[in-house]
Amino acid sequence: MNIRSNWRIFALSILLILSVIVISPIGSTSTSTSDSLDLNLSYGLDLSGGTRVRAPLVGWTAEEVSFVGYQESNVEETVLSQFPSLSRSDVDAKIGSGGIGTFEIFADIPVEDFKLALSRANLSYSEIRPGVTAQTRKTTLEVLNKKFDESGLTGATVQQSTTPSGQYFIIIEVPNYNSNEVRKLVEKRGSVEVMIQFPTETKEWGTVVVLTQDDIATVGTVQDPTVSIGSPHVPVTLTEEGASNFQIYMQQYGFSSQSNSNTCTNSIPRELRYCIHTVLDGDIVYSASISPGLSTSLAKGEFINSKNFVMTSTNRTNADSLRLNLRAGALPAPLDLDSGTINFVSPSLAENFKIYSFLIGLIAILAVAAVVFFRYGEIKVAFPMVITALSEVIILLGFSSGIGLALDLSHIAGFIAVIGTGVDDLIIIADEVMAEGSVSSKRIFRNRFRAAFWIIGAAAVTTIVALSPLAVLSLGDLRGFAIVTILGVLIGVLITRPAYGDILKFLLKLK
Amino acid sequence: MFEFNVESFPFKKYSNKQLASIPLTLLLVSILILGGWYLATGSPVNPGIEFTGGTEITLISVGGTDPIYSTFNWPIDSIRPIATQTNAYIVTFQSSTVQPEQLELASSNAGFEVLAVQSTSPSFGAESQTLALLGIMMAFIGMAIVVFFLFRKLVPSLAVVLSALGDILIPLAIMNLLGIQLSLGTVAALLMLIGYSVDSDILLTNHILKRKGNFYESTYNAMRTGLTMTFTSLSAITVMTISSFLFGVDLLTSIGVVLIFGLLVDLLNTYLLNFSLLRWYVEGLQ
Repeated sequence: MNIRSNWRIFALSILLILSVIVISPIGSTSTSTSDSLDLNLSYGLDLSGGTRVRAPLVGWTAEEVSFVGYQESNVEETVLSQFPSLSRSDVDAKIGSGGIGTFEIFADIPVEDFKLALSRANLSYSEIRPGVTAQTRKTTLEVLNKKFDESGLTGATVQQSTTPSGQYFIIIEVPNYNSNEVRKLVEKRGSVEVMIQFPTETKEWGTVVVLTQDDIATVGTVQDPTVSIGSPHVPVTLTEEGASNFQIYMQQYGFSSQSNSNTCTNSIPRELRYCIHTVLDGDIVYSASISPGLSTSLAKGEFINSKNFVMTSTNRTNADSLRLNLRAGALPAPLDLDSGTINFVSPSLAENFKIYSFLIGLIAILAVAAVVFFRYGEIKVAFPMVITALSEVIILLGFSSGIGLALDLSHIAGFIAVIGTGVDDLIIIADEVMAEGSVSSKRIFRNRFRAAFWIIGAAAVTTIVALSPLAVLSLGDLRGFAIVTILGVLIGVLITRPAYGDILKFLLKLK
Repeated sequence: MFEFNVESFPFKKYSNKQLASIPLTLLLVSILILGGWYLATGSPVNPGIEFTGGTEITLISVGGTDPIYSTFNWPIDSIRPIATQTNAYIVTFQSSTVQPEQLELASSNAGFEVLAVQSTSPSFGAESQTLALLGIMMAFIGMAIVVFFLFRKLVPSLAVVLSALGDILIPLAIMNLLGIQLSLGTVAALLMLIGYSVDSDILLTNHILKRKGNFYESTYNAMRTGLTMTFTSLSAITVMTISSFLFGVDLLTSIGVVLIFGLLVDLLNTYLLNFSLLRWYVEGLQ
């Protein structure tokens, strides 16, 4: 057998061997033994179980805002003063070079209100668009990654995608966890603040935010209740600047006075209490008195040296989530979970889907084999046909495994499409080559093969052109289907289907 | 071994108009159905939850369907059992704006085991629908350009494109009549149909226009191969559809159903419509 004239058969064999090696369980790192389909393939959510959340970020962005003569924090305060229900973390001025930048507001407010607030703050802008800046999206992805790392929901992936209309979505995929577990972790921004409450002469009482997440340098592990601190708590150390500001605030509002410690209790009228509140996403989740120890340390001005602070929570679960939020940081903008998609497949159902789709694929191939055996009656024609069609799928699986593509049901649909077009092409080759009696010479074979190749090439180009828009458009599941089908048709037309022609030539014993 | 007895097909007995009238009538009726659907519902097809927004929840209810109806206070659009899994049901909420977390909460309170949740917001669904239509249109236009480039003759190219148009529109109308919704899966099936459709059309056109020899001989040769292709695909897809229906793999079932209709319709479009246009074209050349 001449390698040069039969190079396609060799290419097919090499690809097939490589693919079998890549997908065989030998190369697998999986330790599962009960799984009968323990191949070295990665599976997407449909076939392995887990949750996929696709959600946009809430917010408006004013572009090309002129900040000349303003300071970032002042501008934010000014705009914020128009929205009593929002807090400092709901606005973000990003001042770029030349005093031009963006102003973002991370809340679902009418755009007219935002315009009004900007004009009251004397800020000029070119346009206001829905959505947030690229920088904010990047930070969001980083924070989400940290959140999943800290929470132990391993294997989570976070990415962004854009639709042709320019809307951005954050796509979160978490294997093996259900939608409730994932939702709980991402539905809130996880912004933690420490706010103090103290008596005043003019109002009932006053409040000031004395610590934000930026002021915290390190976060310790959750501690069980002790004699002095009666609840689960998280020790933290503050940054130099944070500790210094904290000390100034606490001294200024009377927390360094020994007589005001232990006054945050129900037995004392609310307007007389000195309280330290832990605030999560704008809600007070825990309130405590200042301890005599901290009070003394603040009075002596020693706090700035230790910088140790303890954040207390109601129970262990809340303390765990407090620690997680402190370590991962707050999402710069909230995710709008009701404006995207949520998909969850339980691992048991996914396992079924996996086995069933392999079975369905197998049944389809058996049906193809039965029909071509029945139609051609000659094992020399039908058997290599079935083997070639099967090898296309194996090579595609090997390719998927090689590039780490996570297989989903949409890819299985793509495999079926590839088998379909593949068998059609093989039938064309067989019929053309064997047309009108026996193939007597190599020259006739070559001419007939060329004619067959024109048809299958033309059909392949049409299929690829027809499916390529879907490979680019972000239409969820259809993208995987289109990519697999295009890839399969390419492998098929360039290598496997012509190789079948060579096999036929060999088996029909052409001189 | 069997052969398709294509020579017995009475091509010679009927005129081009007679042959073409069957698929063209079907195409016209389909366009009327899709148009009527558009006038009546505001959409030419029945869009599924991926396009309208809604939630589909797969759960195990030991007590059958009654507890499902009594648990959910939101309008249920359909409940379908899964054949291979006892007490498993797919419950669809398409028309109400209930949030998936409300459904999950209600399910766990009622003691249902939730196997899967698929939820799409109406705004995201509307965008997907636009994209899907755009995708099908671009696919069709791309296919037409390639076909014109391949044959570089107006009538044969138009014949292929018209036949492919029928292969998409007639199954769409059949879907409406059978109550099959347009989903991402059925959109994928329609795109596969473009591929299958041009396969047999290109084969036929190639044989008739580019081969020496008798017109009918070329036709019969192409038909023998084409019928083998279609029946092989049909048998594979039929067993795939039946087995995926029994296993409850919805995506593959909906793809399969559309492909079965599409392949059957493609037989009419290729060997009646495309053939008669080609014969008319070849007769004009002589």
